[in-house]
Amino acid sequence: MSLKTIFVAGMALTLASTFSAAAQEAKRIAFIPQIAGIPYYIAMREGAEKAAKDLGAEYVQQGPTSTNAADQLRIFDSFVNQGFDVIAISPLDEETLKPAIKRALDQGIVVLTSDADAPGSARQFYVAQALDQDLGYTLLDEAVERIGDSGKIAIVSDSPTIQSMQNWIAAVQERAEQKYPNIEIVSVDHTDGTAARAYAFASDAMTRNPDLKAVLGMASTTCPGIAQAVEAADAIGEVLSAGFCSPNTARGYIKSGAMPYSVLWNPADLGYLTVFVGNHLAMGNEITSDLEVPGLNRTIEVQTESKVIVLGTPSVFTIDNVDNFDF
Amino acid sequence: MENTLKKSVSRPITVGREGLLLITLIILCIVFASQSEFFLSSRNLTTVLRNSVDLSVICAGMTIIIILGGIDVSVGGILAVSAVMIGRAYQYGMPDIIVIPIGLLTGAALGYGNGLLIAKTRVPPIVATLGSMYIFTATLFIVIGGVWISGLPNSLSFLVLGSFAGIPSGVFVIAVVYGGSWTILRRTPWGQRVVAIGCDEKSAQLAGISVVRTKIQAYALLGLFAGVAALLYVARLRNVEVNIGTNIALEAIAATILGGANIRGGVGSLLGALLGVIFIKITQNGLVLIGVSSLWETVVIGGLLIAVLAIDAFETRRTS
Repeated sequence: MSLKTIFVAGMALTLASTFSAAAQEAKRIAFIPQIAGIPYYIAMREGAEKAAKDLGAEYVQQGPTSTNAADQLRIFDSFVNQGFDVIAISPLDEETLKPAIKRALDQGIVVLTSDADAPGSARQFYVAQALDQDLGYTLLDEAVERIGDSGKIAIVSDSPTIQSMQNWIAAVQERAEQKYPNIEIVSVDHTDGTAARAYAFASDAMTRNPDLKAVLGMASTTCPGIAQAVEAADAIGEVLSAGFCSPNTARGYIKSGAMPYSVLWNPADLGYLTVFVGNHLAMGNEITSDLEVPGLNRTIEVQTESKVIVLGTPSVFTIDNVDNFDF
Repeated sequence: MENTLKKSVSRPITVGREGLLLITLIILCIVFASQSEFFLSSRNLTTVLRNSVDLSVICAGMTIIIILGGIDVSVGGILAVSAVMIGRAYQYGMPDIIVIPIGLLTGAALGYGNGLLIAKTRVPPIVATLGSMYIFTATLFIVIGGVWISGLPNSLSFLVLGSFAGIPSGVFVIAVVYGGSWTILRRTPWGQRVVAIGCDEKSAQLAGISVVRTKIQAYALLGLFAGVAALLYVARLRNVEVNIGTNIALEAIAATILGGANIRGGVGSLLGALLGVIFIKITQNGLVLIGVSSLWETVVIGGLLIAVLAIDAFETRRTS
């Protein structure tokens, strides 16, 4: 084989690959988290970027600097105007986004909700980390395993406008009513997203109920506050704190014993699945109940009726496995 | 005759603002205590105190700024950036003796920048500090890089969580900050200059007061206090989160105004501001204890603020 043939063959290959790339143009996929800059969404971005690389798509992630629904809407509209093929969003407020989602769909953009849902909107699919119900049930089941099936529990959550957290609270309450009649949920309080307020609410709940057995945090933002409150009250072992907290946030408290466990999912996998589904739909494919995601080593559950794609069962982080995760 | 009448009518009321707030506070405490047996427990009062320390410190500086005729809505941002610097310094393994000056200097420097902007360019303080608030928040995001700073050492926790001779250490921190601020404000020429500028900036200038320098110093002082608050916040929660300092500027302004400061400048009370802080924190705590949804606390505080401002406006109209 002469040098010339190799050169020609190489040219032909390059040309062919250029043509095939042009025929199947890279899809542009955007995701809007509830807030920028928290470890959770950074981990989600890592998974999403990996999927984009695997699939030859382009991925952009941009979120508001505070949990502000109007800012989210502004970012959403800007992605629409930039001509993205897929826009996925973790909505802060369904009502604010409804008309914008409708407009985007009318322009032929694939619109997904991911991480949190807007069930009343026209979104095509909701890519769910785990079912809200499973999460709430797991959180309470794990608590009962440690404190027994009777006693008082307080709940501390972030802003009441975040739908997914309201669902988790409802799931915890439902589980308590149906399975653990002697578990009493004494209060549900909402913070402004600062650790200081979570700390205050957890302290107040312990003061008000000297026999309180657990404080459950619904948001990652509440975790340091509630765990620190348990530590400051010298109540490790008497009062358990737990919640939906990222391993990095909970790690110190899991090790101190103030927060024996934390329930969540792997956000990197969620990011991967979101990009996969978006790309799949943008290519003109259908989502069927036997959807397979080659890059993810797990079984995906598709609920075709409610248009929900579920990543899987929640993960429980304890002292035994927390060091295997970094988000 | 008319003059003396005016004096005898208006005088007791202006003096009575702290008294009025104290009476409201006592009524509030009676209501909470009658509904919750735990409200007056020493454990609960200690918790309220611990939760009030950072806001109290910021409020002392805010009172001076409002007396000066200014305002600073960026204190939450100053607290946030100082807290991030403190957190990072701890992460690099620096000892308290270095971490403390880093936190204080960061706060003072950012406050100095605010003062420079306001005094030199004459941009209205609410606009200038709104601008710097955005920059500080962005700085927080950029420096923190998405990773919360958690699990910091507790070597300074005793400042908030500890106690001395049976008295919670927060009491001493507040006493030092308020004692110092009162002395500066009421017993030094500098304090007199602040009041003079707040009453009438032009006259103060004509009287030979360096308005620019005094303003810069006052904003730097508030920045320093925000740095102190950041140290106390990190000492208490050992954590720097993305939302740190979210509502603290508004709470500080609300407490200062509840405590008798006039938003137009010239008038204000450190004791009143401290009572304002206690009022806000007691409301937040008491509503939870008596089982009222925490969503109502903002309604109570907002309502009272409007009532206070309405009384102020009514009084101004009557006396002028």
